[in-house]
Amino acid sequence: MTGQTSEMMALRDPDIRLMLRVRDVDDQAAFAELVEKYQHRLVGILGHLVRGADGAEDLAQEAFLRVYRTRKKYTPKAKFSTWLFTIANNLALNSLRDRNRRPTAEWNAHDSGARPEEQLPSVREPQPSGALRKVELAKVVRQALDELNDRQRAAVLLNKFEDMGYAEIAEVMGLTVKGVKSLLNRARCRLREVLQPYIYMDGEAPPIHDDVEDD
Amino acid sequence: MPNSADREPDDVPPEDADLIAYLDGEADPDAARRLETELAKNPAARTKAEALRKTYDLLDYLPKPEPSPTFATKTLTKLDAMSGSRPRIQTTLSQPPSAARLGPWIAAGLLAVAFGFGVHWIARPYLNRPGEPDLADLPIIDRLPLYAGIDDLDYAKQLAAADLFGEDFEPPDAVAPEPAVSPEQRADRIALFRGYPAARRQQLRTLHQDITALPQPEQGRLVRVLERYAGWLARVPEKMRKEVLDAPSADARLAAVRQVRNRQWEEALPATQREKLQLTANADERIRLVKEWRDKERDRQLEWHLAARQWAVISEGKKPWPFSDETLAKDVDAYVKAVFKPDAPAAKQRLFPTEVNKLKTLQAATGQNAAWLPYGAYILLLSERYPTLPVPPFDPTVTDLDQLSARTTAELKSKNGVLKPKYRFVIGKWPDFALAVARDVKAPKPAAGNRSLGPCKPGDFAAPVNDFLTHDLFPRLTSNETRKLDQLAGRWPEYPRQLMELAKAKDLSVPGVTLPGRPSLWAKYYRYTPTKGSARPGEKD
Repeated sequence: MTGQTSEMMALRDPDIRLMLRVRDVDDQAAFAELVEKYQHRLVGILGHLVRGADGAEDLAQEAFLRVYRTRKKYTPKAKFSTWLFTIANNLALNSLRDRNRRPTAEWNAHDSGARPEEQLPSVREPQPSGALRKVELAKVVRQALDELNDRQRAAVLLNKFEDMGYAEIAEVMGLTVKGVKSLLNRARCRLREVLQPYIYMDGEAPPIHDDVEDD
Repeated sequence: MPNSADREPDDVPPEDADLIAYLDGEADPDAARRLETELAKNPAARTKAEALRKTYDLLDYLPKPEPSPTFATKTLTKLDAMSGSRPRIQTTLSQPPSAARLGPWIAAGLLAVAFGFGVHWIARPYLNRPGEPDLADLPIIDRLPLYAGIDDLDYAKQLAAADLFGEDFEPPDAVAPEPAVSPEQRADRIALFRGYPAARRQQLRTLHQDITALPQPEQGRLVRVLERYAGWLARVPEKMRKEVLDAPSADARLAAVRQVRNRQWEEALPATQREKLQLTANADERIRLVKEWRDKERDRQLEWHLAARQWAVISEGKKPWPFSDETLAKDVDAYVKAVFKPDAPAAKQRLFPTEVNKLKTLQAATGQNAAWLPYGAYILLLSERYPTLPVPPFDPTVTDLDQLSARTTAELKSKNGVLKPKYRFVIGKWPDFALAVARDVKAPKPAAGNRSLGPCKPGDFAAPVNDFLTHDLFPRLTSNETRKLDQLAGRWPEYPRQLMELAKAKDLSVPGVTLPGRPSLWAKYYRYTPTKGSARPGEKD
């Protein structure tokens, strides 16, 4: 990466300018700006990924601290947000892996550790008639997301909530574009399977097709 | 198996994979064209595409996890421990031993905030004036970080607006211990306070006096608003902080705060919404969009908050209190009908049409268990907005001019002239009409029957209320309360009002007059503290 290119990147992305100040002069005010700016997005994604706002906050904090700790090694290759989410995604997937490995503390969504809004009903009962309230809809969606494996879920969240394209997700997750495509394909098909009964419960009328067929 | 490894062979049919790539805008131009043709002629493919799109849209229903208000402060505090060096954020404040314990407003940079406040104030600095500070100023000096960006009480109160630093769902008993101040911190603050022009010092004294004169819990609530504001101000980027602090007046400052908050809120939106906002050129349309999204977000937060309080029953598919109790549920139903009269003709309607509509919509939705929650919250809100008084047991309620005695009518006329127009908004409504008359005339009398506009002494009331008084309320009153109540006997509306207040104090429901069930349970499950002052002066720049 030449100095020329990094300057051009920095011109385009104000966050890179901030990060370069953090790197070059240990500017903590610039770092505070980055924290202030990204905390909502980061905790938002991590909360969905690890299912729990408390755990998400710890991970987000660790991600920011890691950004600071490794500031001297920072080179502006891509958008700042890509770098931040790469760090956060690695932390989250590692923590989920540890959680799954630990035999004594087997984690699942119904454990008492989860806060009320993260607990889910034990039986999923599709109620295709009547207006499903938003709260219940959210429960169903949460559960559908839990049906995905961790990496599928991460790809979906980055795609949906950070609006990342396949290439950017590939960079964040350390995969090929093809790998991301296949992750997302399986995730989206799975989501459609689980959520199919609910898709017209948000008040929008179903389209009128002459011939409705499902496989 | 849902949790299969990613390495397994692709089990998604190739045509689905193409469709998904197309929907994600990732298909190459050739494939995209091919798919468009296919979608145009094949309804089954359209249905599938629609289902894929809609399932993705459903993800928007997930409540967004939010960082706690102290998140940024806690994170920045950890930097210190890590780097072992003093932070380069300009601050003269020594780092507190534990930011979490000391509360959010001791955050790094706060004194810088105090320094920067109101450049116009610092025009003639009185720095380093000799002499000890007046002891009376010490409480203000200790709270200086809290007051740093505040002009006066009115400004502080406006910060409590819902979209600023007000908290909708604050538990009623939240306590905020005041952080301890070390001698060094105090010395710094004394120097700062002395550096202010006399007028600013006086302004701070008035502010402190006004705030400490507020009754509890209002005072505590306001202090927590100020804590959130101070913490926020210390953390926002320098440039934005300057915009706020350099504002020439309180109004301009408030407008700047609102602007910065809006910008931050927009930055925190999901990418698609952010983009939509960026692409919306029309300023009014942008404002409308932001308002719509914010309202939606608040609604969802409220519903989640309510659901969390009765989660155990809701998640088991049961109805929440009080609807879980059959008798109580019936009483609530009767109460809603009798007091809010959703089916009465508009002229006799106490509620606004929008309120009637909302009530009916929420009521109609109560088939689903979780839907009882917004309904419960709304009828609690309405019951507080439209309190009523016990009705007479036999005679009709007094709700129109022709039900008044000739003498009362004459008295009203001599005071007001033509009566119809003056009372047109309350005619037909109990107790609004009677209360309006009672405000204008000393001892109003109805044309027939009762000697007052409503029951106002023991035994006067309908049987359920009489029973309630003798069996439930009166035995619980202290001799003092009984004496005070007895003095009001025969006076309407003073007597029934006092009754209602006492019942509330004893956590009792007055049959047919207040919401059935214990008031404390209603508050526990359904009340959220609505933030006042959401008027938006100077929102537009």
